[in-house]
Amino acid sequence: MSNEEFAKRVESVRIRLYKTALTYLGSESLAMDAVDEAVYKALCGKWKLRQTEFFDTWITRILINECHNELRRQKRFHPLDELPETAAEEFDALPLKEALRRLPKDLKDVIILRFFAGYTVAETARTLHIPAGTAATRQRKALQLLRLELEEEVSS
Amino acid sequence: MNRRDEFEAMIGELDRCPPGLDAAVDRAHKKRRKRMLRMVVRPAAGLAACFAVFVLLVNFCAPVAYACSQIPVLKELAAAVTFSRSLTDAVENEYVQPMDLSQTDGDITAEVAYLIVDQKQVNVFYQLDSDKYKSLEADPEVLNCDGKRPASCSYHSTGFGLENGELRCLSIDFVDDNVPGSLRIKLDVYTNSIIHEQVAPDRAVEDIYSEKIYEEPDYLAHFDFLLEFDPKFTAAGKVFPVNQTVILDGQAITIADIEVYPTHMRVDIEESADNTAWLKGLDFYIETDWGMKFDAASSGIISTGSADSPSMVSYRADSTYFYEADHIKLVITGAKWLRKDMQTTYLNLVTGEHGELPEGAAFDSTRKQGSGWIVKFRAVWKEGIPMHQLFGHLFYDADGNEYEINQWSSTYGEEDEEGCITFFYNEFPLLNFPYDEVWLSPQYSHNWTAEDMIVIAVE
Repeated sequence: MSNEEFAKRVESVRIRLYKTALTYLGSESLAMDAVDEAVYKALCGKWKLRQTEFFDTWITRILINECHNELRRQKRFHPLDELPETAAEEFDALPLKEALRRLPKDLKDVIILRFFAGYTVAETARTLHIPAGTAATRQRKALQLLRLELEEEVSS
Repeated sequence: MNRRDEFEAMIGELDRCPPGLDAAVDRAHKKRRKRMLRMVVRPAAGLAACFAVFVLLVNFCAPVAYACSQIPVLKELAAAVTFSRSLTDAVENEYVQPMDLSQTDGDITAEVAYLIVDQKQVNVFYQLDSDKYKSLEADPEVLNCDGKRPASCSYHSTGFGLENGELRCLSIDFVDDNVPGSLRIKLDVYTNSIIHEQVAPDRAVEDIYSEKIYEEPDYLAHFDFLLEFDPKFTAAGKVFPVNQTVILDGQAITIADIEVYPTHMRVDIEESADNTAWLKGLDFYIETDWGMKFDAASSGIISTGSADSPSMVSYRADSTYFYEADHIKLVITGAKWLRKDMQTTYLNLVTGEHGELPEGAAFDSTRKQGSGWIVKFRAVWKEGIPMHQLFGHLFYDADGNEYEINQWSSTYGEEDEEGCITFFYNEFPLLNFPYDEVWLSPQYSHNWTAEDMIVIAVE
């Protein structure tokens, strides 16, 4: 992939990347840092990408790893435990933003990609390296916990 | 506000993109250029480091185990393992044994902070600190508890030129044996001004290639740590038997098995005695049944050889260990060979006349220095292919007497008109070699790329 093509592909996905990072991290500056680091890593590793049609999901995966790394760092200073899937009442009592942050990681990944970054179920599954059926199941569970009723068009 | 309103409000917040977002690619290029420059400068100005790396590369290491205690994963550790996907995965999965061992000798303090260890590899993360000295480096030595050097063990340091307090990694690899229950790590610490001082490159090269390199540095401190490994980390890895023979470039090789450890994977090869070339490199990747790819190792130990031939018979790759992949595919895309009739190649050090060189390599220059020579070649470089040694460490005179190269340096070539680097230089001294003719040992003769990828299913 040439540098020019790389720049075009980043341009087409950058807003989604930023929305993803901002939803994970909740801070504009941290989100920008995460996007910058993901773009840098993608630039260095673009030769590893054998099928360029998967660029979007590939760079999103890099970004998600960056976000998880940052959240792990934050956790040392501001412990914020995930709530288990059984804690329906506790999720119910939290504001949506807070409830989203305290979702189990697997469920949170799916919800952020589907409804905040706007990926389809298939793209979400490919990004997370999980089967589409698993992505759909996690989406359903997460929406139940968040008490959100979202239609498919929201993700388009 | 109901849930739907809260959701719409969050979506609204996301629509405000900061103005700097569109310059992310430019920033990535700048960052990369800055890091590339550091890579270019270091081999030239800090050849002592290259020497140390070379010596240590002959001896290297890596590890396996499962789950571990809840420990705070430090930002510094995450940053220190970015050179390895497997170690990054290990850190993300909290497969880390915290140590917190500290010793002070004079004005220098050494602290072993973490271990990432498995059945075959130990990665020691340590730091050096001092109020008095900068540019600290350590010569490590790995010993068993009885003070003897472990058999079949090699080690490799990363992190030359780090600042005080930054995490360094010493990787100790056990090729045949397993990691023992404990090891002693000795660190002899010195200050390396060559890396950090602005020394003219030519002068640095002359200094480095003189015989003075063999003088022991003036060590400022000595440390001796006993590392005791938590048994849950040194448990056995998984071995997938394969036993499939494939023909690559007309040569038959058998994939014997694939070993999976937390810190790395090994693809073990056997080759036919009828082959006309030795296998020197394998281009491959591993793919899980859900399409996730794991690349062959590109730094540290890439492969290990055989005592019986120049072939490399065990190849390293990023590990699937933390992904619980029971069905994987080995995908071979190419190979590097050394023809059996090209074990040595001739070079006239005065005229530059030479025999067949490794594919993509060209003679550059020689110059007389002291009682020996400095020899320089250039070779094609492209992104994804690391700089590498073109020749092995043994060379011969006209009578067949054997000599040893124990220093080498690789530097990137100059940028072309489009700002791309397309070649690198390989330079090494032939110390105490007064003759005009030499026979070098090529590392390979040619590369081969598969027209169709060769896929081997592994259960």
